[in-house]
Amino acid sequence: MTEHLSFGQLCDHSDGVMPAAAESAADMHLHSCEECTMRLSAIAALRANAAVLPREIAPPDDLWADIRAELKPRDTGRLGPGHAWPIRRLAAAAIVIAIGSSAVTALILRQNRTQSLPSDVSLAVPQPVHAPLPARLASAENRYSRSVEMLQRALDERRDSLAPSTVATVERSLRIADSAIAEARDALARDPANRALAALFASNYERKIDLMRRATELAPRT
Amino acid sequence: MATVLPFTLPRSSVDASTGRGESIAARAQRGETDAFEELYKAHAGRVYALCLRLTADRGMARELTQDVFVRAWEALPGFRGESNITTWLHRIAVNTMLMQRRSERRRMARVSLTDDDADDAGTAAEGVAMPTDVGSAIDLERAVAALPPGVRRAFVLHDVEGYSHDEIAGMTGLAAGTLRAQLHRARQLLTRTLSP
Repeated sequence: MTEHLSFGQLCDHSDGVMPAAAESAADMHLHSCEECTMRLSAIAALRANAAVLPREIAPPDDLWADIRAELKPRDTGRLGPGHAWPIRRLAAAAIVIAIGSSAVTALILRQNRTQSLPSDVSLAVPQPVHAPLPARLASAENRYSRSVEMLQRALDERRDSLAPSTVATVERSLRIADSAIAEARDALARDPANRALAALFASNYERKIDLMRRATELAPRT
Repeated sequence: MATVLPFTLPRSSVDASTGRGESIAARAQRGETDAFEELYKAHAGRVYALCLRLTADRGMARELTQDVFVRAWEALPGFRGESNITTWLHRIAVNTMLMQRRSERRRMARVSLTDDDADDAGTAAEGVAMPTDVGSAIDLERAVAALPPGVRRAFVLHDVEGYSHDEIAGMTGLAAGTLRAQLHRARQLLTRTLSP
């Protein structure tokens, strides 16, 4: 390379982003060209000086007061949009769980009957039973129950910091979730080998736990 | 047992320095303005420095810094810690400044056909003169302040703040090639200005 390096090439060389072959050629040129070496040194010096400029400059003293005046309170008072599950959404979610769960349970039971049960079996809505669950599901239920207990304790501790209307909504939501769990559980007790019901049962518990977790987030820690 | 405990904070959010078991950012996310003030005090110097260098104007830097923190307050609940909070605030500053500049350009376009898009687009044509009020003896800060806005932004973010081309491209939405051209232009103007 006999021509002088362009300023862009010198910058790329200084930044270490030049392709290897081009860098070798540039190095050869720099070895014999004082002018380009001087220009490269000037770029390096500029970069070095820029890198040591103060990273912090004190803002005006009264700036925070202006910023503070513009801050709007968050909706929930406790949570921002990223975490926010306003109470109406919580209740709506519980209703969705209940409706969805009931419909799915009924559908699974109906499919099961039409596919495998003898024709003389009654299609009357089954009454709740409390037959024991298979060991695998009982174990899962124990785990869920422990989570529910912990969350319930947390909710109880924070109950006083919630508005009565919020407490009522949370409790109503949890009753709906409990109802969905009970329905799936009863169906499963009758048909323990039904994998779809087992998945629904687990899903209902997980949703209840999620509801409870979000409900605890509505309340501050005491 | 694989129970998910709802009150267990991620380890990264625990602030050992305060011993409060929770980071300032997490408290600010929940809407605690006292915590947000602490966040402001911790980061205002760096944010203001960036704003001052980006705008080259104290009044505009003040307004931009104010906008950055107000926007940060609004966006903080969505902050998931994927990036350093300083980087996140810098990103807001750059975005806010770009939006302000776009608004200003739209406003100017209604009254004039001239703007400095050529510099923002990174066309590093030779012969662009430095402002005449920039003498050879001025210090680097003043020389940077005198750069056209687009190339100044590239220089401040890359050579002063140390962001990579890719990171700056992520902040500004500009192509890495454009940013490189802007950076080269800024260095060329500065080396000329600062040479004895």
